[in-house]
Amino acid sequence: MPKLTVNNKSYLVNAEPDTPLLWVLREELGLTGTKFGCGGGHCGACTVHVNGEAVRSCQLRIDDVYGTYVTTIEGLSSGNNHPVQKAWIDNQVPQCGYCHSGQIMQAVSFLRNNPSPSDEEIQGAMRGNLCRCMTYKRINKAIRAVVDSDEISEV
Amino acid sequence: MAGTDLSRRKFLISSAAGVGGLVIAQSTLAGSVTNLLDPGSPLMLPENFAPSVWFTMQSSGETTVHVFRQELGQHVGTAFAQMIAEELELDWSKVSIDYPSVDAGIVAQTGLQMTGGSQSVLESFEPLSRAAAVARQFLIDSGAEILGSEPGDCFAENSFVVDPIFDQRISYGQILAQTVIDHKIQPEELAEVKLKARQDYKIVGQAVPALDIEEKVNGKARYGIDARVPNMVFGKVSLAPTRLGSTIEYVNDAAAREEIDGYLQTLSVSTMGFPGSGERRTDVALVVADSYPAAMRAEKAISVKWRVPDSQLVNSEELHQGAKELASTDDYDTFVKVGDAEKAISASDEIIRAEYRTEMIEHAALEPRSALVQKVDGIYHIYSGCHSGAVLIQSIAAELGVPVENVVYHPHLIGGSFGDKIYTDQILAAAKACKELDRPVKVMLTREDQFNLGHPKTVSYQALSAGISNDDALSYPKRIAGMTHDLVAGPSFDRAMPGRIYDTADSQQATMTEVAGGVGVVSGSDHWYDVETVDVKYFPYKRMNELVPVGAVRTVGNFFTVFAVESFIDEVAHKIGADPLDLRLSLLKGRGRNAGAPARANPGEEVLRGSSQVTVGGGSRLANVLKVAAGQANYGSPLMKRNTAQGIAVAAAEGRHNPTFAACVADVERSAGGNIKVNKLTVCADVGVAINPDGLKSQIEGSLLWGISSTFYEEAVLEQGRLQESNFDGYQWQRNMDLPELDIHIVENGVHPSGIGENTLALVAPAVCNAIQNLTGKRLRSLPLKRHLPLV
Repeated sequence: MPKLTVNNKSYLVNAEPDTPLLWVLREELGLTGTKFGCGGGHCGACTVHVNGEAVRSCQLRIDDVYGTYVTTIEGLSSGNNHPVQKAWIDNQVPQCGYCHSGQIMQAVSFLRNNPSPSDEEIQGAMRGNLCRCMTYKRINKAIRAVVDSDEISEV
Repeated sequence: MAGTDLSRRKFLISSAAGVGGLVIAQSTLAGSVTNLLDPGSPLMLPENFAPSVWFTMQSSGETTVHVFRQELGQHVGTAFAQMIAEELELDWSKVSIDYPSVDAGIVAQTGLQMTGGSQSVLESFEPLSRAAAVARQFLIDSGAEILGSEPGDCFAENSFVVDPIFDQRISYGQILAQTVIDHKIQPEELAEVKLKARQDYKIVGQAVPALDIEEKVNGKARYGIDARVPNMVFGKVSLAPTRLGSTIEYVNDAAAREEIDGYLQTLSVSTMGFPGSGERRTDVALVVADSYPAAMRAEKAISVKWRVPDSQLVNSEELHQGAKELASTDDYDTFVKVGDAEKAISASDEIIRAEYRTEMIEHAALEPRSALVQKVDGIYHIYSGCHSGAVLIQSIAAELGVPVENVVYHPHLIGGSFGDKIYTDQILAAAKACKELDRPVKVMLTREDQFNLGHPKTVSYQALSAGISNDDALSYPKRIAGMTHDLVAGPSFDRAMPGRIYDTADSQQATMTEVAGGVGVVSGSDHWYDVETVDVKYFPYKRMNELVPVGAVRTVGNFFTVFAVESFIDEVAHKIGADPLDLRLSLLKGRGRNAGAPARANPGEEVLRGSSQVTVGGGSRLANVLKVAAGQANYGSPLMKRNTAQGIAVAAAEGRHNPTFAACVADVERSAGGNIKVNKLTVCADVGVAINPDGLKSQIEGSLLWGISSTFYEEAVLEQGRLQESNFDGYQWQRNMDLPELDIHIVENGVHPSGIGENTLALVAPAVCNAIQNLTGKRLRSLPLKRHLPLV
C-alpha cells in the first residue's frame, strides 16, 4: 500500500487513486479538523498544506499526494501556540468555527510567503476562504495583528 | 454550630461535624465516599453539588454549566455560564461548559428546549439566574455552618463564603470537600429568591473570552459531520428532479453492484425537514456503501426512475406571479389592526402605494447537514447537530415507531446553521436506514445535496399604502392618516401567530386574533410607529409550500417586512417633505400599544424584572437608538463627499416577544460606473442587558455582513420545480472583500436581556436602499440589488 506523510507521521493508505485527499484525511486517518464545505474548491474549508503550500484538499487526488508532506490543522502546533492560532484566540475570531481550520492554514501559508502584506493583499489572499458567520473583519484583524507583532518571524 | 435551621432549607448537610453523626471520608477518586463508621457498607452520596439540571459543582469547586441549547456559533454556553457564575458568585476561572445528551428523562427536567428566534438568552436568563441565586444561598449556609458563623452575616464572592465580622472565609471547594449538599431546588425557592441588580454585576457585562474558542482553532471541535462509530456505513442521497412532489418508481443499481467496490444497497426513503410542521414529505434514494467516497461513486452509477407530477414544474417567476395574485384575494388573516385604516386612507388627500419583492435565500451554512444513527441494545443513538434535541427524539421515535425513551440525541457542534439545522431530513433518513439495515449509518449531504434539499426563505410580495394630508401646517404624525400592509409569503411553520386588533392608536388593550401560519413570517410588520390607523394583513402562500418547503432563515420574516416598512416610511418622508430621521422620531413616542410593558406595578415601587419586561420603554427605545446611531454617523453633516449619501432604518426584531431595539445608518457611495458600495454601517442596539459585549458585537458584525450579502447578492432560483443552485460558484454571497466599516454601539436599560443572533440583520437592506434614493433619486423596491446594478 502507498504511504502518505501527514503531520510528520507516515500512514499506509487503502483508497481508490481518484479519492480526494480530504476524504482520506477525514475518513481513513480520522483527522477531522480539515472540513468538507463544497467539494469543488470554492470555499476553502478543506485547506491544508502540501509541501508547505496551501491547497484545497477536496481537489487533490490521493494518487497525486503520495511522496509529499501534508500538514493539517492538527499538525500546525501543539497547544494552540502557533502565532496565527494565538491571534485567532486573542481576537475571538470564530463563531461556529467550521471554516477556521481552512482560514488558519490559508493565512499561515500566505504569511510565510508574504510576511509584510498590505490590507489589500491580506484580503486578496483570504477571499477564497468563505465564512458564513461572516467573521471576515476579525480574520483580517487577527492576521494584521500577527503581521504587526514580533511573532511574524515564527509563523 | 451557629444555629442554622437545617429543616427550614430542606437540604442535607452531612459532614464530620454534622448533626447526623455520620462520619465520611472522601477518597482521591471523586465520587467515592466511605462511611468510616461502617466501612463495609459503602455509602453512595453525591460527589458534588447538583441542585439543578443547569449546572453541577464538583467537590473541587470546579463548576460545569450544562448547556441544553444548541451551540451554532453564537457562544450560547459562554453567555449561560456568565449568568450562572454571576448569581452563584463563581471564580470565572473555575467555570466550564458541556452539552449533555438529551433523552426523555432530561426533557422531563429541562422542558422543551429549542434554539431559535434569538431567544436562548431571553428565555433562559431568569431561570438560570434564579437557580444560581438559590444555590448560592445553600453554599453560604453550608460555609457559615463550617465556619461557625451566622449565615446572615456572610456573603459569597469569587467562589468563597466570607464572614466579614470574624474576618474568616472558606472556598466553595473547601466546603464541598467537607460537606455534601444534597438538595434539588424547588419551584417555590426559585420564585422567592431575589436577583442581583444590574449595577452589582461582575461577570455579566464583561467581555470574557468565549469558553469554546480554543477547540475551534486547532481542529479538535467535534461537529456533526465528524461523528464516527465502529462498523458504520455511509449514505449518500440521490435527489428527485423537483424539490417536492416526485416519487420513486424504481431504482436500477446493477451498474453500482458490478463496478463499485464497497457498494451495499440503495434504499427508498421518505423523509422531511421538520416533522410535525405540516411540511410535505420528500422521497430520496439513499445509496449506502462502506465508505463515503464509494457511496458518492455508487450514487453516480445508479439510475432512479422518478414519477414527476406536472404541477411541480414551476419557475421562480411563476412563484412571484402567484404571490401577487394572492394579494388580491380574501385569503388572509389580520395581524395588526388599529382603527379603520382603509377608510382613513380613502378619505385622505393623497394615497401613496408601493410594492416590494424579495427572493428565496438559502442558509448556505458551511457545514452541510449530516447524521449518524446507531442502535445499541434497542436504543437509537443520534450523533448530529440540531436546534432541538427535545423535538428531535420525539419526532424520530414517532417515525421509527418506537417509544421516545428509546431515542437519545448526542449533540455535536454545528458548523453554521442560520436555521438550517432546524431541518432534520438527513437524521430521519439515517435513522430509517439504521433500522432497516441494523447497522450504524452515517448520512452526509454534499454541497449540491444541501442546496437542492434546501429549506430556503420564502419569496415575498408586499404592498404598502398610506393616506397623506396635504396640509403642511399639521405635525408629521397628523399628516399620515393610516397605513396598510399586505404581506404575501410562504409559512415556515404550521403554527398560528397571535394577531392584535386595537380600537384606536391610544389603545393598549387588544382583541386577540389568530394568524394561520404566521409564526416568524409576519414578524416586523407590527412596527412601533404611532400611526393613527394601521392594517396589516397576512396572506399565507400555501402554494409555495407545495413546491418548496419554506424554511426559517436568519431573521426570518423581518428580512422582508422590515425592508418594506422601513423603505416605505422613507417614501412617505420624501412625499411630505420631511427628513426621514425627523419623521421617524415624531412617530416613535411610545403611544398606546407602542408603550411597551409598564416599568412598575405601581408608582414608586421597584422596577419589575423578567422576560415579559423586555419591551419596557417601547417605541421610545427605538427613538433613542436612532438618535445614537445618527449622531455617531454624523447624520446630516454638510461634509459628505461627492457621490455619497446616508440612509437610515430602525426595527425591533425578532418581534414584539423578543425586541432588540436597533437603528442603522448606511453610508453608500456610487462609483463612476454606477455601482453602489457600502462604505460604513453605524449601528446602535439596545439589548436591555449585555451579557457579553464582545460576543454581542461579534454577532452584530456577522448579522450586518449577512445583511449586506442578502441585500446585494443572494437569490435562490426555482427552475422546473428544482432549486437550481448547486454550489458556491453559482450561489453568490459575501466574500472577504469590499467590506464596509462597521461601527457598533450597545445600549442597556438593565432590565432584561434580549436576543442578538439575528436582530440587526434586517436593518441593512432598507438603510442601503434609503441611502440609494437619497443619492440617486431612485427607489429600489426589490432585492437582491445586483439585479438593479449598475445604476446608470
